[in-house]
Amino acid sequence: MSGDFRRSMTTVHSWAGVMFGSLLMVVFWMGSLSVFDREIDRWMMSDIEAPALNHDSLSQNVSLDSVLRPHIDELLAAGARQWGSSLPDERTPYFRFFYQRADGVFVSEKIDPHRGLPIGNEGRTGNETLGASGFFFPFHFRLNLNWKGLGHNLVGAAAMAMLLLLVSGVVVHRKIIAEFFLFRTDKSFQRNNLDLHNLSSVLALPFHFLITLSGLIVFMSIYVPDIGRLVYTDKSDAWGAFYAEAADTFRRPPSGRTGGLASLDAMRAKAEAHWRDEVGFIRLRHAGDANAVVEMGRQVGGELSWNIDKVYFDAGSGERLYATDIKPMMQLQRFFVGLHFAQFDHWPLRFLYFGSGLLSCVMIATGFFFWLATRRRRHERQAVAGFTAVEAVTVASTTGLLLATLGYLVSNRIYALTEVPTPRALFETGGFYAIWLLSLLHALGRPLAVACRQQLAAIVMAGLAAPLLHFLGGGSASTPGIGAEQTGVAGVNLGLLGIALMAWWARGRMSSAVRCEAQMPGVGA
Amino acid sequence: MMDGMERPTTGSKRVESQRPGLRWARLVRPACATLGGYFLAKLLAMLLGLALAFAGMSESEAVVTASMLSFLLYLSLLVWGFAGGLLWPRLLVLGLLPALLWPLLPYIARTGL
Repeated sequence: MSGDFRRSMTTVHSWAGVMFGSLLMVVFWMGSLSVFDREIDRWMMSDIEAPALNHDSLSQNVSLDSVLRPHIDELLAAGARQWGSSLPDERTPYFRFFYQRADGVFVSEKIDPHRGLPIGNEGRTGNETLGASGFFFPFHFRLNLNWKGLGHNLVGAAAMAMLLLLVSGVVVHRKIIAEFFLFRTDKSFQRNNLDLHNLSSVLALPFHFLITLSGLIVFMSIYVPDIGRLVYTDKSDAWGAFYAEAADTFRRPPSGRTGGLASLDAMRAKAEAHWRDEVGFIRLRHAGDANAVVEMGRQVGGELSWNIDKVYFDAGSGERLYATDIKPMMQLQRFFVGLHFAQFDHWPLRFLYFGSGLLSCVMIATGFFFWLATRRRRHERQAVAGFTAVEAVTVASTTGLLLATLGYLVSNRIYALTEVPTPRALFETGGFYAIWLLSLLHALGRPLAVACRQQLAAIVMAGLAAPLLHFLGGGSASTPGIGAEQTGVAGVNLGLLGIALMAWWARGRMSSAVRCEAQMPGVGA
Repeated sequence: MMDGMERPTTGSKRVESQRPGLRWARLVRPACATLGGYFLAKLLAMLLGLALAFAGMSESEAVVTASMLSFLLYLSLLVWGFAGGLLWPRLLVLGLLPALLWPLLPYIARTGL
């Protein structure tokens, strides 16, 4: 490798890192949290959804006809055009139901599998929380910026930057194997920081690369929407034409005559016999029409690949109309999607994903701090404009992001314990953004090390406060129980305590490092 | 091009001696690599999809194959674009080539417009 090539890759590595570091930090942090989104959902709902939580709610034991049907009939009478629902499973013991109202708007709700009623609207209006799956998860892939696909495209650009950062990082890092075993705990904070950057990068390199590539592949319809333009000559909707063929979709137009709905349980039994696997999702199109179609999708927890296998039924008679057959390359795409979403039933793997995601966060944060430290002196001497801002953004996107996340969870508990009049989702997301903004303002007003230490102290407090508030205000669900449903919630509490502990440790480590370097000018940063 | 992380203290002289015109010239390479790379990667992927469809792969399979490979194509072009060396080959391949080929796409499409 020529020196020239390595030098250019070094330049690219630092520039792409500075430009996309904050964004990547947000994406990887939110992605890591999303691995346990259902558990965090349950933690956040522990004061409202207690009745639904037990093993009878597993899909095999729930009759669609007796539980869902009355609710559906009510919606159809009100003019709903289509509806769909995922079935309850171990991690999500309720129906995640959606329907399209007569005015075209899509509404989603959680349905209690025992009573067939929406969960979360009892007692208080606006009591429904977005949870982790409605806030952290969309934050992960579109930053909750929906304007003209801005969020999606920013995340896509960051993902390409991440791939470039990984390639250039490997080129920059000369002794990739030799230095892998090198961790100089006795040296300066700066040396430590670089060793930690190298260790987290190399240790999880396959993960960093594959999770980023598969993330791009998940959204290929957004990032490279017109690849099919030469193959499918229908210019208006090349992607639609592609997807209909690739997913082997069955569609038929509405007839205009009214029609009924046969037994959903019977259709489910037929679909399950066809795959020898469980149904995970149902949907009805052209609701109320004689040509209405019931779509049953195979569950995704059984294998690595995220399948899109479907069986279609005539809604009126319950006759099987069509079963999909997905071709090999599309199955490869579904494999990448499954690899990214990690929805398979495998707890050790889920923890491995979470740990690797956190390693990505460590890699990004340490890279950032390394860049800042190597440049601080030069930039201070030359008074480079904006350097303080970059420092503040770095703090806001590392410790500030953690603090905002904890703020979201603490707001959730404060809402449960008090009589706040605002809708719950607004109160919680407001807490998140307010704390994030405060962390940025806080970091703008003081040196990097001081801002970091103070925010780490705040993280310790918030990490202790959240489980405490949960214990105080858990409502009926906080009554002791050692079932599977309680393990997830307990795990979230343990995780929060873990965050507090790590922040405590990092704070102490930073203080001693700063003291150390203040005594030895010229060493390290 | 400025130094990276290897010798952080030696870059100051160069920054100071830079003429204002050169600052803009430094944006040419990143623009070529990111924007030009994106359009060229997509173009190559489109052509690959077309070729696979002609070779007998079913249409949706050709498109999904090309779409998945497009990200790796883009990554390769990014690395090449940002690698050191002469600027003009990058300008030609990443800047000019997609600009020339893009208007021709309707004539290459499978069954014309």
